Amino acid sequence: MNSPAIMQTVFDKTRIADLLTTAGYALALTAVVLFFLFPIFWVLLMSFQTNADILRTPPSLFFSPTLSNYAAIFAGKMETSTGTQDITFLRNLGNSALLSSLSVLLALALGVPAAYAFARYQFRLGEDIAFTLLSFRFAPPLLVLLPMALYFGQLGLNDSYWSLVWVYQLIVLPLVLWIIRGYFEDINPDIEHAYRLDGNGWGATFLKIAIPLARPGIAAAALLAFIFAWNNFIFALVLASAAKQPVTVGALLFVTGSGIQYGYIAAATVLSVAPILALALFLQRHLVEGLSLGAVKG
Amino acid sequence: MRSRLKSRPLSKPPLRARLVPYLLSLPALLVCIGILVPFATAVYYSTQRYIITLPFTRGFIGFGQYADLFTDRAFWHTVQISLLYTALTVGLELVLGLAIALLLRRSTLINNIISVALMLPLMVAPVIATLMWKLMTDPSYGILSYLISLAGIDGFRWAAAPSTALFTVVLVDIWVYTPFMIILLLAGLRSLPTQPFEAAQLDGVPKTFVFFRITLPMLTPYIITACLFRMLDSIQQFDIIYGMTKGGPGDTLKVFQVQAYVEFYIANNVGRSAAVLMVLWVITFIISNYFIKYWLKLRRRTHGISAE
Amino acid sequence: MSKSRIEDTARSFLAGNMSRRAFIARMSRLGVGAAASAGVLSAVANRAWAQDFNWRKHAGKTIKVLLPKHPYATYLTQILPAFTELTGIRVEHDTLPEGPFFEKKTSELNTRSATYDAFMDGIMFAWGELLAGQIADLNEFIGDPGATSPAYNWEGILPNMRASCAWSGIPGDRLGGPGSRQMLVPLGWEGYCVSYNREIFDAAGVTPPENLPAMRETSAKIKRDVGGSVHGISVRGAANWGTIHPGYLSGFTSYGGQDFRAEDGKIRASMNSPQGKEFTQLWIDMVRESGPPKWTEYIWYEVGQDLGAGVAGMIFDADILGFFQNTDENNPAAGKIAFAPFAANPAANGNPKSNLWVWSLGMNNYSANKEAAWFWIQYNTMPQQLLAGVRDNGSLIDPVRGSIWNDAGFIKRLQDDYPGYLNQYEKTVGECQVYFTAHPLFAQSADKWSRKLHEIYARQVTADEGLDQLAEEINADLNRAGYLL
Repeated sequence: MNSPAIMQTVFDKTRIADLLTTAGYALALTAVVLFFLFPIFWVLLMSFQTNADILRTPPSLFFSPTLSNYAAIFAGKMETSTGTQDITFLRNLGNSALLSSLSVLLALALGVPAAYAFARYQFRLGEDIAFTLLSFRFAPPLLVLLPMALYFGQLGLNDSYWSLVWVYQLIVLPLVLWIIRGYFEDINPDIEHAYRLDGNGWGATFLKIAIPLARPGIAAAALLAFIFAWNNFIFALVLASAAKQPVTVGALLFVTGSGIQYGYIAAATVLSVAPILALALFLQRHLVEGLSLGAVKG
Repeated sequence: MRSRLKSRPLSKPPLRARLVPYLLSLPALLVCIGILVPFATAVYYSTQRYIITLPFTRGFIGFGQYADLFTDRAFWHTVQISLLYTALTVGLELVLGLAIALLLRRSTLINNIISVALMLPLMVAPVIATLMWKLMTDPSYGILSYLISLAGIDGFRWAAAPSTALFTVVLVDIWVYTPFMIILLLAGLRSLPTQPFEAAQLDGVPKTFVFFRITLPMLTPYIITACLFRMLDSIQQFDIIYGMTKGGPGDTLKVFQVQAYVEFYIANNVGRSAAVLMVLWVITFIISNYFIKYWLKLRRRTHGISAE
Repeated sequence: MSKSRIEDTARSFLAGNMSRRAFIARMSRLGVGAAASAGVLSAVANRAWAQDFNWRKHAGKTIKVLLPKHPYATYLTQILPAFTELTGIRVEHDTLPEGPFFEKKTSELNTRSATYDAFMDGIMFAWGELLAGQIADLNEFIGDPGATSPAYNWEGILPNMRASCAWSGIPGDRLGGPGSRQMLVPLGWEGYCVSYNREIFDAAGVTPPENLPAMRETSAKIKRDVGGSVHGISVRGAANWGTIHPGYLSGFTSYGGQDFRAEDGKIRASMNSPQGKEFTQLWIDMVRESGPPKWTEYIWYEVGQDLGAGVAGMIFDADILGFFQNTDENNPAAGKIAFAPFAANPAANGNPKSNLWVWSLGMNNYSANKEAAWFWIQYNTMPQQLLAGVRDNGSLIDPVRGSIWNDAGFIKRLQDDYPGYLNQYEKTVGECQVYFTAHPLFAQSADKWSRKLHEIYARQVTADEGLDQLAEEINADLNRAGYLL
């Protein structure tokens, strides 16, 4: 073992093994990135192509890029053989932003205090309430949606942003609750105790100590909830009329009588992903940290 | 540590303080309770013969609707294919997600960039993703069909053939939802305490042993959370399957929500649609309950240890 | 300043003093695009026939309508400003792709929502809607001089179109027979013919097939001889009702098949007759051999796209589907498409029995603005509007009013740009009707039918076994509904 020669071979062996491992990692990562990002890349390319270029056989990487799809979406007009058609995609985009933001804000306003209660207090029926809240996620969306549409119709609540935001709680609130509760549970409560001992009430403790400490968890939960709200299709289709429908419904409007306008759909997809991507990049620092429930425990 | 706070009050605290947790959690409950009304209505519908286009045949039939379902071979196919779809998607996404999370475990710049980039499929709404996949798998203009034809596989029919339809929708599901798995498991991995791993390395413990005896058990709560949410979405899958094949070819992919959708929108059969969804709800409830019980038990155990 | 010149131009065109081409050219010089021209035309036309009827009766009201993504709907939205100018009624419209459109309509009606006052609809769906009390009987408006303009000329709409949109509500009853209620008003219709790509046909050295066995051979030859990604024929195949009603049911009927047997308000599935089985087996064999590889996902968008992109040699689908594909300059096959009548049964001696689809306008029975909604329905189907809808590059084809088929401008447009179109129309129109038996479970049974075709296609069952199973399943549904004969 002490002989330098043996040291040398051991060293070489580990080096080769290391190199192999590194190469393996790189190869595996490349495969992963290819599988998950190639379709995105392809959509991005399509968004700069005319429908005629997209519908070529065989498909090809070479085309003369055009901004016409984006231009049409921003101008709000699409030319087809049967006349000019209005594109309402920008309004759909606005609706998506509004609906998702309001839904997530409401879910946070409701969910963060509740998550704190479940994490910090042992109270009668506490676990039952927590389970009940989560169990709203068990109900198949259609089961709730169909009778709800009936009641909304009768109560005149149809087609309002707030009724949609309320129904969206079904998707976002359980997610927000579950993640943030776990986060609170893993934050050491000693700081809160110290603050309470200084003579502050629980309200001040909650707002000034607990929430700031849980910020990464809240950010990550909010982002995931935002994505799920943004991607919802069926609730908005059934409960809203066109003026209030989100991008998921709007993107389908490029299916027209004289063909499916893939170029527009691709551009619309890019435009609909961009805001969430921006949000994800903005929250990037918190994302992984926020979901790692025990991150601050160290 | 949690138990310290929770067990602290030896003397009974004043009423106001005991009300605090209720005050904090009730708004959430109240907002959601409204959802129980439609739910109850659906339960009521499921006990009726209720076809909208035949208003004169409407009437109470108790469990007749369910009896009908349970003796219908097509319904058992729905149960079977839904559970198979759920097991396949959740299982494969777990394995893939875990493997990828392990690859990205070290917090380097490149890994962090990749982990955000991998979130992209999750940001494409499933209805839109489905349109894109349909185009990519088109035999004439689709890039994927072209690529596999270069690899010598000709005439692969993707979602159009009963033998490959399940494979195709599972593939799309994996593409859309594995990122959700990755991000949760990655968060879990990065939050694990470092001491056990350092100790294992010093002792020269083999990597597989470390993985199965240290990493996996410590990661279990995260795995359960991730699988729970994926399971909920998978067993209730609608967007991808309906978008790709409308539950076809034939009835091949008629999972619960597609079946209920067809009953409501095509057959106008509110009663049967509600009954199908009630069965789905019961199954979801049972599976979730199991997950959550296990999760709570694990949490109690880890917190019990860390409180010492 | 140029407003009066624009309107003068429109008046001159309407009076027949100017060709379509000249009209478009002059309008574009005046800075008016094709779409806006249609609006100007209706606005000008309004004044001529607005005299002897009080169109302003509901001025100030707002109605909302639901439309599918379809060329007809595009036209309807173009003439909305003219309608508002004439009546003072504001119209909001929601447009959705066909699939979500039907889902939205069903969902709204099934929840008794009054959000939409009127909508486009298809005949077979109106059967259930009528029994559910979801759509209004339009006879009460058509017969009311206070609600209908003397210029409307209801009788001028082709008799079989009017009849197709009327039904007594008794399963198995003839459409438009005794006791019928007017469920809908026809807007535009389609029959089923062969639309083919002349370039591909020339390359394969084939001519339009005369019957189903010939169609199968022609299609196979195209696939073999032209090759590449070109297949012989595209027809619909997705798991829904849309797969049954165009080419499939037309051929099925030609072979002597009948979907249901009816007696005294009760019906029994009869698609499993020997003729039905023979046709179905041939049809599926053809699709499997030389149809689109992803046939089981095909709705009319895909069928049309295949023809437009030059990937399919022919389609056996709506005449207007080929028509629109031939028009869109972005399509590789634009200008290369021709039309031929088609009778599937070799024994039929070339007499097509085409099923009929009529896009129609219906009124929500829960609407609070029924008469205003009727004004909109009426306005869209006035002789003047329907004529304007086929002029210019109008899309209201095939027109439902007989007079339009005599319009020289329209006929010339067909002759110039759509080879064979007029011929197929003349051959097809005689026996073009709804060949489905009327009953409220239509969508459900047609959905099951399409899924059974998938099983036959995948060789899980033969046509013989499959159609027997299907009839049994549908009869069970009918039995539950109390309709089984």
